[in-house]
Amino acid sequence: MDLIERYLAAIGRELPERDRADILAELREVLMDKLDALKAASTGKVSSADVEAMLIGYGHPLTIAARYRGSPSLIGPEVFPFWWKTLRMALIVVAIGYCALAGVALFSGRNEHMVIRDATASIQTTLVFTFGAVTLVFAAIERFGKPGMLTRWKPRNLPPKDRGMHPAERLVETLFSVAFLLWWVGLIHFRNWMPDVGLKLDLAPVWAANFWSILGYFVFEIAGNLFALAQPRRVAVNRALRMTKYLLGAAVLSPVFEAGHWLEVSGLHIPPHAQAILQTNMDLGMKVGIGMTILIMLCMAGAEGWRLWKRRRTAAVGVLA
Amino acid sequence: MPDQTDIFEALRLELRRGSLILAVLGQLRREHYGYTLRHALADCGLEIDEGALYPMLRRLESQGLLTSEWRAEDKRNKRFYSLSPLGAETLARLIAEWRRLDQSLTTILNEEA
Repeated sequence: MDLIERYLAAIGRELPERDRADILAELREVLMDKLDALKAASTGKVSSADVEAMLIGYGHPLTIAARYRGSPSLIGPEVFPFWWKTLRMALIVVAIGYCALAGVALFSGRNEHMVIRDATASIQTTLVFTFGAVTLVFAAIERFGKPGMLTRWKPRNLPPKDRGMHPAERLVETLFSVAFLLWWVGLIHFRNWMPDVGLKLDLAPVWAANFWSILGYFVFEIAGNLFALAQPRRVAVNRALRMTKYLLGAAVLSPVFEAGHWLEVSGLHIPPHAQAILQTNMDLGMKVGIGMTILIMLCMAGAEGWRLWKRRRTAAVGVLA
Repeated sequence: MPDQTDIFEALRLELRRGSLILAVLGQLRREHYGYTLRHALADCGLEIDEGALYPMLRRLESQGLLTSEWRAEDKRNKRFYSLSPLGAETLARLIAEWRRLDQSLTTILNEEA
């Protein structure tokens, strides 16, 4: 009897107070019936081992109490896919943000060991916090909100089959553009990675002469990417923006390319003829690099234009059909 | 990876879950307390775990499908359950649904055979 009372007390501790007495009264009767059946089967003598076996057979107190309480899921099956998708996106954004910040800190002259140590420690905390925060929001929707709201959708709001660049790629591109822009306007400074061999490299005046056009190009790129992230379904507009961006890039780089001189090589301890050779090689490298970039941008603009034309043609054929 | 027995067992439990409620409601057209209800179900070939039966009875009662009262029987207090008017109405609709489902499944399974 003592074992049964202890068993009931263990279940009772896990039950809500308003139902506790009622549930325990019924459970007590059920267990007494079972005990009577046990006594009848063993000619009246029941050992405590028999009672223990009976209670083990009935179930662990926590399991039994949980069955009475019902076990609402933290995140139920309806909310789960939305939680999982949001969680993945949030974790990716946090990880990319951290990598970008660590990259900026690394290139702007902070000690690399400290940067890596700080970033590793804080990214772990932030990822765990992000996991907790996203889960908490979706648990609140599950518990207090209307999960059905999440599953209400319109097929016309689905992203297009051919949505172009993946949002994560676009985000990375935007972050790099922002970092470049901040460096270009002098708000952040990158460390000089060149080993100190008495050689100094500076940008030639052509870059300062084209300061505003280069600035304008990056502002346009960032704005275009932000628009595409906010309006992924505007496929044609986004393609047109990308095509314009490539054409703009080629146009901005053309006067730079024509300058023929992009880096200033100087050095106190390097003989003038060696400096001249270096200058020629550097300029040749830049010439090839800038020329290739212009060519690639024109090809990309052509490809975007072709896709835009194909899309329009398909739509027109669809209308006629 | 779950083996074939695990898969079968999981599917069997899933198949039984919904039909057990129908069986309990059907059996409670006549008044029962837990013990006799369990035996009545077992006599019809439907074994149900006690740990699952009593919470289910409480849930169905809280949904208004059952009513219950404490009464003494065999010198001991028992909680007797029976269908409420809402329970009877719901049971009639569930039986109709079950018959439709049964008919469809019979057709499908016979076609497959």
